[in-house]
Amino acid sequence: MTKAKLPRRALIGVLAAALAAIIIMVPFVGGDYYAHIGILVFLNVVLVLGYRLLSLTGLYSFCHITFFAIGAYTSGLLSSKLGVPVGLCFLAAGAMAALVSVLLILPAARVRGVYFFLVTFGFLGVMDSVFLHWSSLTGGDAGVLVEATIIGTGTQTQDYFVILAFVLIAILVFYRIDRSRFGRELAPVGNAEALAAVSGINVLKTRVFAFAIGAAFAGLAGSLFAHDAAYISSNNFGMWGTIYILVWLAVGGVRRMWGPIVGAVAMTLVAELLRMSGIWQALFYSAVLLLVMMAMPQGIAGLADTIKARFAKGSGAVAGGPPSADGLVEGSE
Amino acid sequence: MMAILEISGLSKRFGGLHALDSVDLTVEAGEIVGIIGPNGAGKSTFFNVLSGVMKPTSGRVVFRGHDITGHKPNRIASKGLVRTFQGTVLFSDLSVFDNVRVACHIPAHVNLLSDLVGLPSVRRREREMSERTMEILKLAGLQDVRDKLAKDLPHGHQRSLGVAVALATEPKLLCLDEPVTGMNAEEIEAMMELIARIRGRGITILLVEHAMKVVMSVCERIMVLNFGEKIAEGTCAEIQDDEAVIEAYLGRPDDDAS
Repeated sequence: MTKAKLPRRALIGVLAAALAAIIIMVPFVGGDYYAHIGILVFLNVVLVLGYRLLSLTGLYSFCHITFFAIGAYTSGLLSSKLGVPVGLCFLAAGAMAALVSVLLILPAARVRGVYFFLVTFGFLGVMDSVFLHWSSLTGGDAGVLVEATIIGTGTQTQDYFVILAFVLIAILVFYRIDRSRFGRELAPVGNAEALAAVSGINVLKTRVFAFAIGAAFAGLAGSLFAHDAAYISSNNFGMWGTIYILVWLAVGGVRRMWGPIVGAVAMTLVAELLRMSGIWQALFYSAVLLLVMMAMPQGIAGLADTIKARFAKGSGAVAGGPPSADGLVEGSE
Repeated sequence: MMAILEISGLSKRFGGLHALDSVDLTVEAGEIVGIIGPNGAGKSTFFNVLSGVMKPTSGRVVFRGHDITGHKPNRIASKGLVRTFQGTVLFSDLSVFDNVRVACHIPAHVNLLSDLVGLPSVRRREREMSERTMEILKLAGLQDVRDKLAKDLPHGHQRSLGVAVALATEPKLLCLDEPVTGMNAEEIEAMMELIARIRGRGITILLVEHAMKVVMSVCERIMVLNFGEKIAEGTCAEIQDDEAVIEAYLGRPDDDAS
């Protein structure tokens, strides 16, 4: 074991460097199509990481994609109708999503479990109708043309690197959250709410923050999506969006931060590279979800923990692993 | 001595049921007071109302001079009134160490932003908290199982961990809800030692327990509840001789000779 230690670390380093090289090369070697897939992967990673926070506290929302939509519309409309600079649109998108999320969860957090799921499902439905039918604002089915680019001339390569920077910053923020006091109080709230409360944790406040931070990042991601795609319509933000997020979370496993990252990356890549769309993608996600639930209910992260614990002979079975390279390597087993 | 806890006229109704009916109790600092009564007497409701898990229908709870009636559980806990739960209510998916460390947070005040940036002061506080966590684990005899998940512990250890989590919040008054129920003789022995050590730190204790031997040997004073009402209060000897108590709960005195 000790002998293998050094080569293993070197191996991880090499793999991480290779991964970084591949990520940087994608738009140059693969062209616009692969850059586009890369952008999708990055945005999905941000979505699932934001969603994970509230899920750790034991509440599963159904409207995460709605905050992505709110961010996209806020940014797209401010930019196209009022000519607000893209940077400000971006920040406004995050702020608007966070604001709406707080207004929603303050009453919604009074219920738990399936009832919370239903309340947020209702919110998704309402907002879906608003996007579709408030045509004078959102353009309805015809959508909104968003001409302002994120940066420069808005080529796929430029967008790719801006959004790559965004996802790296997001990962760093979520990593710090995981190790902060707030982050460490999430799982206890989900584990035993009453005990958390009498241990001094403000359960409602914890959930509001978790929801709002996740929504803010979804909103920011939505803004980038709008300016990258240059066109948004209500078709982009249906309920399948939320279902996919749930599947990424389930596949990756919620306990460790790198779990959902692996889940989102793997599922998005497979679905896109097999050029699945519509019903085929839904079918594929359903099949994977069923398999995961039966074979490894704790997801890839849980499976990796189990394997690690079996090899480690009882020591440090619950040590917090770094989320980046280490995780990706083990996730690929 | 001064009263750490003054309860007056505390009532809790569920529809037509008086789970607690106008209960008065004064607890002095440093005391250890037992609360007994048959099943359904209102003992758990009493703890739920005290700790803020439930709001009382009427009455007043004054803790260290502050009126805490109907406050939220986390506020009451941060004032120093902390409870344990019946059975094994733990952060079951967390390690033993993390269970205690989470509860260590109460005494420290940090804002999210400085925590995210990871300032040196935050890191120093982290280290202090880890040290305090280890100290409490040692006190509860759990230092050797610190890396295990709470749900994987044997029953006795789980119960000790429940008490350790409560201790981590630095309580002034600790409410123990049936700490030895379902334990074997050896585990009961360990828990009683732990209770003695907690008392040694000057922490006042309220103890709800069915095991009479434990209550009688640990407590200085006992309150007896029946159908939500206080039917007696006094020393162990007084309680054992009390007609109303014998009738309601203990049975004939000959049966309880041990």
